[in-house]
Amino acid sequence: MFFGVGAYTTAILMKLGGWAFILTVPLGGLFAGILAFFVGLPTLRLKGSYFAIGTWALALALQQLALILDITGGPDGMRLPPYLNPSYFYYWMLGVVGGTFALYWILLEWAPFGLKVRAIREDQDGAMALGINPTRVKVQSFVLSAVPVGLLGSIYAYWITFIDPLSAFGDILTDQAVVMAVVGGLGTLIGPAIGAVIVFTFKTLFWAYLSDYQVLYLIILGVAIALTVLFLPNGLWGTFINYRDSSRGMRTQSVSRPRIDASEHSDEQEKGAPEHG
Amino acid sequence: MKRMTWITLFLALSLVTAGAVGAEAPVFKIGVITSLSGGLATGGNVTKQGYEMWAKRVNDAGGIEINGKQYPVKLIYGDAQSEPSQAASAAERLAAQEKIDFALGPYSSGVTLAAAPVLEKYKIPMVTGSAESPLIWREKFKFTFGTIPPVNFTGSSALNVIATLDPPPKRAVVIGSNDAFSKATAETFRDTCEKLKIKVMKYDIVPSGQDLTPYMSAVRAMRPDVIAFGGHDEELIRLVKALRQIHYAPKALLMHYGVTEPAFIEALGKDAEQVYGASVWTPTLKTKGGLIWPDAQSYAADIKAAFGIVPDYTMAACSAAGLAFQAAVMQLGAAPPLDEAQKLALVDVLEKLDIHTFYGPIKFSHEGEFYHANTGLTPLAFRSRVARPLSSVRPTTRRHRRSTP
Amino acid sequence: MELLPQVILDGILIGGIYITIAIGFSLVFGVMHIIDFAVGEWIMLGAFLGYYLNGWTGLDPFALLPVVFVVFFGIGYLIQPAIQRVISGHRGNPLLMGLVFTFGIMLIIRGLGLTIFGFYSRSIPSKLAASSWLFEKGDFFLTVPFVRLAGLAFAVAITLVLHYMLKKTDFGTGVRALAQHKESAGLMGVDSHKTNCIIYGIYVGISAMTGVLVCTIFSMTPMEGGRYTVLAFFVVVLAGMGYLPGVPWAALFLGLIQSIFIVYLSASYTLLAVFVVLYIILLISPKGLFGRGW
Repeated sequence: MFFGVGAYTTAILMKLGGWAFILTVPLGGLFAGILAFFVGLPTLRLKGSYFAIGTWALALALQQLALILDITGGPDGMRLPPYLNPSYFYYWMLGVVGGTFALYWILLEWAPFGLKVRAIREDQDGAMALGINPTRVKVQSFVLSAVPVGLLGSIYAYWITFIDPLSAFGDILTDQAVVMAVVGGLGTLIGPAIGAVIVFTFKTLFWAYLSDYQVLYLIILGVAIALTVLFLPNGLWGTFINYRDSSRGMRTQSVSRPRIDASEHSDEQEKGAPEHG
Repeated sequence: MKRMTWITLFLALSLVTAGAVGAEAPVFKIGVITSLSGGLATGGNVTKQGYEMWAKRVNDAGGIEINGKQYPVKLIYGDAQSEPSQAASAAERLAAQEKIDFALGPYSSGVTLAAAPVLEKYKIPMVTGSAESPLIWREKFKFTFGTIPPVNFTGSSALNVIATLDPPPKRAVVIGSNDAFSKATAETFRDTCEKLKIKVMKYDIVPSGQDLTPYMSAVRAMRPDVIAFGGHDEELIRLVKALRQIHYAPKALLMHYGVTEPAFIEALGKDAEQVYGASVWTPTLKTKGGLIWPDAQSYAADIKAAFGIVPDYTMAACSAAGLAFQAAVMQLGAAPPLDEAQKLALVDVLEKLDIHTFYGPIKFSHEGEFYHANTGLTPLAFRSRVARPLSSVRPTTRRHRRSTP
Repeated sequence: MELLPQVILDGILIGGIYITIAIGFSLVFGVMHIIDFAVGEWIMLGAFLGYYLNGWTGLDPFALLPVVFVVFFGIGYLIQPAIQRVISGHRGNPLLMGLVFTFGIMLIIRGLGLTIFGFYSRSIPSKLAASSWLFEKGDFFLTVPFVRLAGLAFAVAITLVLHYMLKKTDFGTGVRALAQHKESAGLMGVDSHKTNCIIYGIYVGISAMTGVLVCTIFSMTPMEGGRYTVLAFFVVVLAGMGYLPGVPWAALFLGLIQSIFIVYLSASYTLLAVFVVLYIILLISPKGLFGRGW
């Protein structure tokens, strides 16, 4: 959703406003952040699956809006003047990604903010008792996660030179992200990155050498996901960490362990049983 | 989540730079950028079969003959995954790593629009067998050609036939599904109706995948003579079924895409009968070809033998895209691998190309809104089920000038 | 205004289809707390089984429903233990694990579907599809397509059967006990393993029958399962996750919104309206229309 907002911000400003690309990128991030703030305030009250479906519905609504409006070019999408220099975009992306990683690292590992986030994740009521305002921290995190995505959307628009509602608000990337998160282990900073590299490499190699068996790709991916979830519930990275820790006989807490464990105490489990008719 | 994808996409991009080019016998390396997965896989697969058929027949005959020597062709696929971004990176990979001589193009306009600029950069000519959206040709890509004329060139033909029905239709309802191709089709229908003095009572662009039954109930109350619909095959099937369920048969139901497609006819059985459409090719068309296939029937027989299906016009256009390359490179007399000057020369030859194939004439327009689209063809109007031309709308010859509107 | 009865009727008929899409999904979530991403794929598989059975036997698709149900009940019964393994034991966030696991299943089924069935659209012919009731009096008219009416009747029947099963049978009591408290239910002699397998089988069977229905009324391609997964999600969330009695009303509500918007307001804005309404309802009543969800 925020990806699309960033992408369309850049496309509209460059195409209709004649702005320079460099100026549109921060605005892409800014608009994504503003949207995240206004969406986050009401939506973050929702819990678990409802929150997921709520944001999903909103993303689909935005996609429909982009399909209908004239300013976005409707289903025809928008084409930007090509600037074909992959290394230029590579550095942009690297900058944003590096900056994001560094920022998250500092905020989550060093600043008090990270402690607040962790406190809320593990025990929201307890955190409130300590004087932490959970809604506020949640909205802050939401905005924080939206801004880099908006920035990347902006860069994407100019890099690919063509965006349309399906590519900007589509969910294919999200699908892949699920995969990456699982292969790499949820709740860690580095796990999804490893998962993404594995999946992307597999994909590229697959299409380069096995393109005659296109449909096989879905089956292999599906089987890989199913098997990982069945036998390596912590993802490849999480399993690796656990294995390393236990083989060294260490009981110290590695960076990723408490997070994986923490997710066991998710909201869902503590709520009442559903009713049946 | 998306964040992570992009981070790593780039990490991985830098990792995956395997690609040692061995010293094999020279072949024409042809990149095929099309959607083999994702939402457009159905159409993408049709293009793939069309390109494959051409390559197979070329290689069965030993290859393309250049100066008395034969060079086989090798298709290298890049999956666009129905995503413009993936199309761009597939084009990048094919051009930079595989060092392709030539490209065969994708299905759908979004994907084409993303792949085309990359190929421009590497100066690699591309002929696509499936780009019907007018958007592509308005961009005037120097290296991109298409064997199917855009829908604003073909779409009006069926309406012209309907207008000659007795009694002549007076009122029409025009609906389009909300994607680039379907919307362009609906716009063409609307404009043609106005030109033909058929009153457009209702014009709507509806979100794709919508159940149109309530809408059709409302339309029925307005009693139009013609319902014109721009959409893809499965939407057409649903529309026809919806009309049948509410027991409503307008005098003419007009669709652009898929009317001659076997899947459409098979899916609907008798229901398909009242449907009019436009197409540029059918297996029963009378054509004369010089390269590989002498006529449409022999091509259809080949496809039937290879894939067990009856080819539609997209598949035929894709095979014809291969033929266009073959003819051009033979005229040029350049052996693989093509260098940059030869690729530029190839574009010039393609621009001047005027050949007859099983698919019909191929002659790319040089200017105007149909720049580099094949305007040598005559659009045909069809009434489905029988899938044979009602009458050709315009005289077959002397239509090449149509390109300047 | 003469259109209004027709619009309402069409909305209800669309809603009927939504009921069948979502009700099994809601049941399985309520009992096992699985969000099954593959729901659309079961629908797709059911549609294709129906298509081929119809081709071989020539029977009307509605007559084929029991066969399809039995086949897919068996499949669901057999694969449930794998899902149970994923969502139980000492694992992080079982809900998410179930979601991702079924996502994998979805990819496998879709891949197999594309391999076996090809890419093209299929549609099952039915005698019912060509007939309808038509009332016409002056400007007022009402068309009732038989095939959709049969779909609605099927939806109502499924709802009533499930209601009866859960409320009036010993098995149903066991299921409800299991949904409320797994451990205590076990102590009271409910065989949770077997019950879960049966419930999952019922869900897969219902979804497959829905596929036959959808393929008769509309059409089906192996790529299309995802569309129905989205619909199932939306209906179930609107009803309240796992709150079975809410499903029919939520489904009818969604059908009516669609039908009213496409006729009376701009057709382009139909889906936008659906998504916005869904979002707003969630904000106002975070646990579905009735506030009774999980």
